[in-house]
Amino acid sequence: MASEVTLSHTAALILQAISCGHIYGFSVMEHTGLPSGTVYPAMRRLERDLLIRSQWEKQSIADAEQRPPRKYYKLTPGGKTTLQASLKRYPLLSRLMPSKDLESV
Amino acid sequence: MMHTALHRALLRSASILVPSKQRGEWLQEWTSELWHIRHTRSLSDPAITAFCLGAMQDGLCLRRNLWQTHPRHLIAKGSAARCLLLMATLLATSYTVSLLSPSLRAQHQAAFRDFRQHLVLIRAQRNSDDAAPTIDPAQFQLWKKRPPRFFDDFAFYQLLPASQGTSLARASINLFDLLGIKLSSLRTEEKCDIPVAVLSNDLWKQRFASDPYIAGRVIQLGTQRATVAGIAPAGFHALPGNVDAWLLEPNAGAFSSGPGFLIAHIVPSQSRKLWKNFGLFTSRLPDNIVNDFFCSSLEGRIPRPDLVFLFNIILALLALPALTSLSLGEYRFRSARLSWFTRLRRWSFLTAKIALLLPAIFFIALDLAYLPPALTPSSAQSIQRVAWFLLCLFGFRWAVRDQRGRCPICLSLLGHAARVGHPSKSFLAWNGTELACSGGHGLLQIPELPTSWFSTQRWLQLDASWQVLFRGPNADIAS
Repeated sequence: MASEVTLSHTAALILQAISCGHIYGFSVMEHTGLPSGTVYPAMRRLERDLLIRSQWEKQSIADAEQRPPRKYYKLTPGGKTTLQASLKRYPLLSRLMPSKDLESV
Repeated sequence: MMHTALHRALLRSASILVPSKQRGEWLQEWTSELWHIRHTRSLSDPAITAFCLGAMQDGLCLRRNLWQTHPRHLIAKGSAARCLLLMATLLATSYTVSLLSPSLRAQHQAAFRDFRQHLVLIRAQRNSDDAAPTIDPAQFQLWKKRPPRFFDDFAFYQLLPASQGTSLARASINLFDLLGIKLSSLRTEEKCDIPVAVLSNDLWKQRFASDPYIAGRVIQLGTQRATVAGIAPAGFHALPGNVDAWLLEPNAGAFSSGPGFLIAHIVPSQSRKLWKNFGLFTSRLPDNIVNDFFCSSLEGRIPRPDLVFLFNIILALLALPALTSLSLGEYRFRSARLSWFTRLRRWSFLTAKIALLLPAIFFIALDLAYLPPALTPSSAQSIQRVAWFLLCLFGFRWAVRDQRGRCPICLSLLGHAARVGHPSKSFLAWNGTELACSGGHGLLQIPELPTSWFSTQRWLQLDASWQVLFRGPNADIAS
């Protein structure tokens, strides 16, 4: 079902950013250059479509570093499949933001 | 400090857009992200403000998502929202139709709005019918010269024998000035010895097809020729006699000897004194005999549609028990007591239904009565009153029965009717109809034959564990 989802360029870029390890909103903003008003709503839609899932950081970790806990985003298996399809659709995306897997290869 | 407050205020404002269930977590995420941004940039950096402004779009996005998933629920068939929406549409439609019809628009312009205050109809005999003339023209002439202390102005009119179905009256020239009514297309110049006439709105429409250029024309009214001076406003039925046209008479001494109607204006400072005496006063007749006279307010003679409608509502409420039981489902045999919030919501729904129903009935009856152009004003008024009563009666019946047929928890219409049991010869076994709430809140059991032990419908509330059985296919996807 998820593999059939066709993403917009922006959504694919955000998915790629998360895949690259930019796992919270502000980090995605910094690496994609997109404003917060685009990034956060797009992440809500990706989460709604079960392509990513969010998880709150453990309070103990945040306390140890004396900062508030952050909400982290991760790709779901469906998200990974959709990203693969999107990378074929938008080949420049992987050059713009090389993923960890590609780097390791 | 100021920047910090601004950023927090922006996030707080944006959080209002977020659905309440998600608001806490949403605000926590944005506050946390804001903290991290502040530690990478200077506080006055406009990028931080831009970041906070983005929260508005995020909030809007979540709100839109909610509306995309919920409208299906809101306007689902049989839901309370759909019912209220349909009622509101009915009200809007009936009101729009009433605005579009010119005859209805004219009806809305009630003549009494233009009336002067403190106007009375004076009668010489207390128990006489208002529609019967009682004042001699000589009395009018006498009071014109020496008015009693309560009054400062008078106007008089006398009914003439009707001819060719037109009811005529000869009136003193100041009649409409005294009433404070502005005549449309008023022309007062006379042509030689032809009197000027003011036509009633109904006559103007029916006989002259609402001719806008009629003012100044010489017309034949029965056996009388007259120059049209103007048209009385629509809904002008306050004066007794059902006059179709008034022939204005400039000479107060030109009236014949028969009785007529006398309209007077009360001196405002004397008004209280006159009404304290129930409108009764004493004055001399032209032959110097002292006589009692009685006043009735002219404003009181004008039918008030709002009061008539209220009267019809009361009549319908009195007749309602003959059509249906007044019970709303507050039965003795309830499996669980409903929370006060649920009960309040039920009552609010019933109130909202009736609040939308009554104005809709008001306008529907007006549309029915005044849209057919061939109807006379009196038949239109009769239709309007009958329609008000019947619509109120059956409208209330529908509101009560609809309320009884709804789930008391989610207010949606109960369905999936099933017949339960078989008729019992001894009347000891229960048989009837069972309706189910599609949300799984409970079952409504309606006895086929009310018995002493099962006389009214019973609401059997199901606990939350049952609801899984009632979930639709969409429920699984949503969860």
